Amino acid sequence: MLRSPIRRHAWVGGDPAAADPSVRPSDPHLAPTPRTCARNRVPVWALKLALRGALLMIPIRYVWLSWSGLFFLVWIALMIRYRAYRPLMWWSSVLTVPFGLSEPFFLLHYWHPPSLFNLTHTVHADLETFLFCFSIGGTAAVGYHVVTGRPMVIRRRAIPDERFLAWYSAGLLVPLPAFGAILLLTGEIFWAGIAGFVAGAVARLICRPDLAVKTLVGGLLFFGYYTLLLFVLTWMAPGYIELAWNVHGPAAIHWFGLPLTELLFGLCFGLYWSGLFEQLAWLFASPERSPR
Amino acid sequence: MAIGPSGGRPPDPWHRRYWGYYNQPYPGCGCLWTIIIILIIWWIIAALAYPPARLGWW
Repeated sequence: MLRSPIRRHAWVGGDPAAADPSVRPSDPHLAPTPRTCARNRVPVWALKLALRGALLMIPIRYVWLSWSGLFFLVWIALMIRYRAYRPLMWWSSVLTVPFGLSEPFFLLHYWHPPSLFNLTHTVHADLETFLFCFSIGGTAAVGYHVVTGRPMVIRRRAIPDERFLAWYSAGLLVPLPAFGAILLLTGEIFWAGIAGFVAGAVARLICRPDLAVKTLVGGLLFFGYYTLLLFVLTWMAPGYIELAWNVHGPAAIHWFGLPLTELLFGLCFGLYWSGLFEQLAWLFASPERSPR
Repeated sequence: MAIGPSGGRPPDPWHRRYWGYYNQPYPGCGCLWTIIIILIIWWIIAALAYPPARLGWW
């Protein structure tokens, strides 16, 4: 039998199937434990910080709620501090909430977090997703203005613009065929969602070049914000990512301990959501009247 | 090129067709649910057509 330290550590605290990569665990909560043999190379301060996170001792069932609550706290802080952007945040958040209904598509196959009232197991849905979606929608929309200090401008619809109204509306609908096509080709709703976000952002860059800076900068800002909060999750609940995300699904690849799919989601959602409200608002703006 | 969730390979035991497991007939609930989600989003966006819903912004 192999007696190397690597093999020995791989067995500690995880599914015995983790020792053999060809064997898959029988329970979604028993994903293979990551190797922990590199502890001698981890700085002392990082170990102390990790220990503090572990001492928070959030019950596993409340980690998803706590993490969503963290997003919501940031949302509340922004809502209080930036009074001028309240309609923007409010509408962007409300528009994001229905996406929480898509959670049953992701559970088990993409991830399977222990949830409030054990709903993920009993009804194959959860409540935390709605809080999460509500919070990230408003934050993604307002991030660009908060960081750059530039005010939001809702452009009026000029008379020459009326000719392009149909194309403009089509640009708003572009995510739907992109979503459907990728879903049919891959069977993965995650990649279909990413395709929808990217298609929507590209269509906006074509229809509304004046929103290009906000789209790109806002996307990168939300990517940074989301990555930061993923690191906070690893700190407040060590091992949670390995537990909740299914390594046999789309979230198989991890970078710096974070699922690559989550990083992609942060970037693509940020790109799409950062300028979406202006795009919609222009559609419903009153057209300028021609002089008599 | 094989098209479909399994890409021509035997389906992954983790794979789950949406509201129908890979070894059972697909009941169509996932497709119906997606349409309901899109309809709800459509209604929310359509609400912007009413001036009070714009919260006095424009």
